[in-house]
Amino acid sequence: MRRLVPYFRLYRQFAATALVREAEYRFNFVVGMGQGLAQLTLAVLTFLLVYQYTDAVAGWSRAQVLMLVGIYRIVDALINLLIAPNLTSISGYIQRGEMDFLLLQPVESQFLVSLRKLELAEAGNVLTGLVLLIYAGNQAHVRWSFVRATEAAAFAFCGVLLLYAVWFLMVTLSFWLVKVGMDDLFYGVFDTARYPVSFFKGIIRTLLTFAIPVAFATTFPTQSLLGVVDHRLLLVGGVLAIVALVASHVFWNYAVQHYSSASS
Amino acid sequence: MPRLIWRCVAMNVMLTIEYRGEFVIRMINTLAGPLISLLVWLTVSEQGVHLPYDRDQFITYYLLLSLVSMLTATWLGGYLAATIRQGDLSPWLLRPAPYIVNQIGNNIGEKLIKLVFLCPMVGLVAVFFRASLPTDPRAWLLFALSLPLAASVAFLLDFVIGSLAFWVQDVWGLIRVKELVGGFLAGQWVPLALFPARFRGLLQIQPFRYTLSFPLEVLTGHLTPAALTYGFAWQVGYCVLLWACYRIIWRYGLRAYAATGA
Repeated sequence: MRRLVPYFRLYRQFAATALVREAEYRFNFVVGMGQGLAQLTLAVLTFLLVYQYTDAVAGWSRAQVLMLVGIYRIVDALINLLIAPNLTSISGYIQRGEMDFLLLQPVESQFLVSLRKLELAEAGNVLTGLVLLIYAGNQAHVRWSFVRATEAAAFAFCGVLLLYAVWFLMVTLSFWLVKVGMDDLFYGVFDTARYPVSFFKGIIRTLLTFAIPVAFATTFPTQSLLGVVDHRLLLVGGVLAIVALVASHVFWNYAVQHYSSASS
Repeated sequence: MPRLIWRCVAMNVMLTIEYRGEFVIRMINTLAGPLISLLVWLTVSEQGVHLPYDRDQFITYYLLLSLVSMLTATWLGGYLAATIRQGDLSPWLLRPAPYIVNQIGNNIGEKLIKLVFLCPMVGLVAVFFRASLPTDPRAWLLFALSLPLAASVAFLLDFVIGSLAFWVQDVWGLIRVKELVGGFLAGQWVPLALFPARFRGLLQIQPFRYTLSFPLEVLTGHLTPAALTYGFAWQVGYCVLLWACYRIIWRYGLRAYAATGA
């Protein structure tokens, strides 16, 4: 446990730096918020177009799906706040030879490349997602409870960890495939999280639950709040998250060992 | 002029081949978005809900959507704005070809390569869904006619908005909003035929319909001859209007252009 203390201290420093930087570019915050609102509105409109023809799709009512859109917005904003600014930079570090510098630091390199940057302008989008979630939840007659909210948060946390691990595994490939747009690929996959997995069938649903586990990020948290989730899935999610994190770490160390620097 | 464009196309084809790995992934993504929408609509339609499109029409629409959205895509707005604001436009003003020619070359050159990657993927998916594409050669002919027009409208629109950088500091926000709202109004996620009827009149006259949706409607939508004529008239009209805007903006813009270091 004591080994972790410097990491917490370091992370606090990252956050403080990000805050100072954000204060310099206050307009950025407004732009980020405006873009987030536009995206959210279009997502809601898309579902309104679907639900003008029917009251339920694969057992999901309109209000229930809009809850899921709210949760998608929150998870998306958290990923863009904490993870995306880092993972989108990694192939650049390798191309420009800055990776050498990061590997020399006396902390775990995976920690450094994964968490150094924060994009605080995204915080507003967490709020708008929360507003939509609560509004749609009331329309869906959700009986809010602390236990359900905690379970939903735990699912979403597993979901974010899993998505991070999958994305990080993809990015680690940049050591070999320098100029391949892994970020686009990740966002292409993550886009499916805006639909409940039950909208898909067969092999695709299985893939989205276990292989590219977007279900843990949005579908299961929504089902927790609705009180219809299979609780054992939380255990599955936890185990999957740990396995995926360990795998990402092993693969990262392997890649770093085989890294022959851009400048030597 | 055609020779100049062709030279720029050839140059950009060579540039594009350098980054083939990236292009495979981009094409997977171009296909993935429409496929997700398709699966959702198929789920809805299999519940026995009555929809304006049947199963085959959905498959045709979304399969060809990936192809058409690639062929009508533009990405120059942000580059153009940066070129103007950072003064990189200056060397172009000395060259024998107008700046827009290089952008046309870049646009066509990249798309030629993307086509090589995307076509086999679309073919595979078509086989998987057992798609029955329209067989009427007249519909395909009209489709082939409206496709370059759609690409021109999209290209000119992007070029005009990017050119506002002659006067406006920051057009990136505007470009992002155009991409988001434009995608929605162009039928990128939901076919315009599935929008509520009371918006139909408005949807038909806004420019984004003619950047993407119209060629697909020509092929899938059973448009009446009158609706076809009306659509083509709007599409040509937008081309002419945007070309005029481009000429006027560049005429006055170049006078206002005071590049850093020039």
